[in-house]
Amino acid sequence: MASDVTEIKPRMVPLREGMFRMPDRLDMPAALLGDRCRNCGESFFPPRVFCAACSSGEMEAVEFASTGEIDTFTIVRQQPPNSVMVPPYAIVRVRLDDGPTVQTVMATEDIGSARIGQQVQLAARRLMEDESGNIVVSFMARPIPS
Amino acid sequence: MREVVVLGAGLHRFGRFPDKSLQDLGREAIKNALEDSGVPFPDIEVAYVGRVLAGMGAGLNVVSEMGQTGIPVINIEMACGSSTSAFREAYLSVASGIYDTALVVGFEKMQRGMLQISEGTSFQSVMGLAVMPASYALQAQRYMADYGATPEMFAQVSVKSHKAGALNPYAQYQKETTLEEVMASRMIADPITLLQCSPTTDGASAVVICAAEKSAKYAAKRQMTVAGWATGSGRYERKGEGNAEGEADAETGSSEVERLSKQAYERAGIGPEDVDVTQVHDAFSPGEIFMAEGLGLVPKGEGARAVWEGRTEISGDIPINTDGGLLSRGHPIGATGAAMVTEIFRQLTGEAGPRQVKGGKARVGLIHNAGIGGVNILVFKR
Ligand SMILES: [Zn+2]
Repeated sequence: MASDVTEIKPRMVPLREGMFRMPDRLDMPAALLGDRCRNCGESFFPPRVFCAACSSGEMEAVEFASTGEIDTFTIVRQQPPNSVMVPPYAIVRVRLDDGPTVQTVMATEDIGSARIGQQVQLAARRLMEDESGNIVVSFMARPIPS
Repeated sequence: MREVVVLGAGLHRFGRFPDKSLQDLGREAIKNALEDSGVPFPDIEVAYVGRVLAGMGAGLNVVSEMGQTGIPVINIEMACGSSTSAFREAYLSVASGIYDTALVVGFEKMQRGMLQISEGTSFQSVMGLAVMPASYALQAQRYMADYGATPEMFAQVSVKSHKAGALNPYAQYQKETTLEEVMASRMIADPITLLQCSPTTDGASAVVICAAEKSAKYAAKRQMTVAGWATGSGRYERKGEGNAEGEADAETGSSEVERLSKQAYERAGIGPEDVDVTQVHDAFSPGEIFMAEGLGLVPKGEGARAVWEGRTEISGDIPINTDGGLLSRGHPIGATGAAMVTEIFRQLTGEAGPRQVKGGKARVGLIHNAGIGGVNILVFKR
């Protein structure tokens, strides 16, 4: 018997609107959207209204490179409150090739590649599902094979 | 500014006291500090209270237990640095000549488990990035890569801390532990294991301060002078100016501590080489190593080795956290700072008993207490 309920393909939604350039598909590069101070040149992610370095309010939106190098890392092994990440997972501090230093997590299957000096790409990854069945996407680091 | 002295200090033992109220904890610490100082409560002109998790007006609810004298009771919050912030405000109010005597109080009752350090709905929280031990672990990994330190060197901080805690009747943990036990305890965030994390704690602390010119009438047996201080909230550092993170990290970054401790030393007219005993914020084991360096007690990159060689033990040449520190004395966040002052008071007055450093001849004490949002440095002289 045919069902008259049409299957709806789950939609991809970013964890936060305007946080990164949302690609069409999962696992594609996800460039972070931040800003840069017109007065002193310092760049920020997440974007700021006033520059942390010089307090200028003249900020311009910028899209950073999605690639960088792991500056440091750790493996979290205890469940933190309010997080959807399931331990063990890796937190990495990434120095973006053209922008600020940002913290994110490694994609789950790449946890073994969390090491200082590793080249990584920030990619769109499934973080969780929301109440409407949408795939909530965030940026996570994946190793770039050398 | 007038000279200000500490006349007395007291604690409620740190630990887990589910059947005691904040009033029970605070009253005992205040009573102990007042008795220690010889100052009767009606002589106290103002109270500054460091507390974090308690609700509205908690400071007054506790201080008024001692009597309703109508004095101003000021609630102060700077996370884990709250009661050194309370101390600083009390100090400035007496040094400025507005009040002659002031009471500093810290108290806290905590839930078990990881402290939530970011709003639950922030993207950092949801992505599992707002994890306190992880922020120390990230710095620790970088430190190991830069200076060739080992996980055992961080673990040794906890061994040393428990050794000191075993000599402190007010400590939450009064039992020694071995390097093997610390290393074998559950991994929380590599390289930090469970026994390298400060526990959740209930406790209270209190300190009585007075203008030096008015202190004689209390016939205090002994006192120590507030010699220097500095407070900051984490100045932004541009990329490439040393702090790899860019964002100012006042709690784990040693460069902000470097800047502030220079201010404090200058005010006190001393240098790090003059310090006899130190209390630092070891919420997690790497804290002692990073801060020993930030405070200039050892050169950059040599903190881990200093711990490993026993130099920061009670018997060492740069004794740190002689009461067990946050790791063993416990860390009831609002009460920690004034407990640090209490231990420095015991050390500089020669009343630290089995924990006494330098044969009771310690003259200069140093405190570093940090919380999300800021750092307090205090220098005391006998
Ligand atoms: Zn700027």
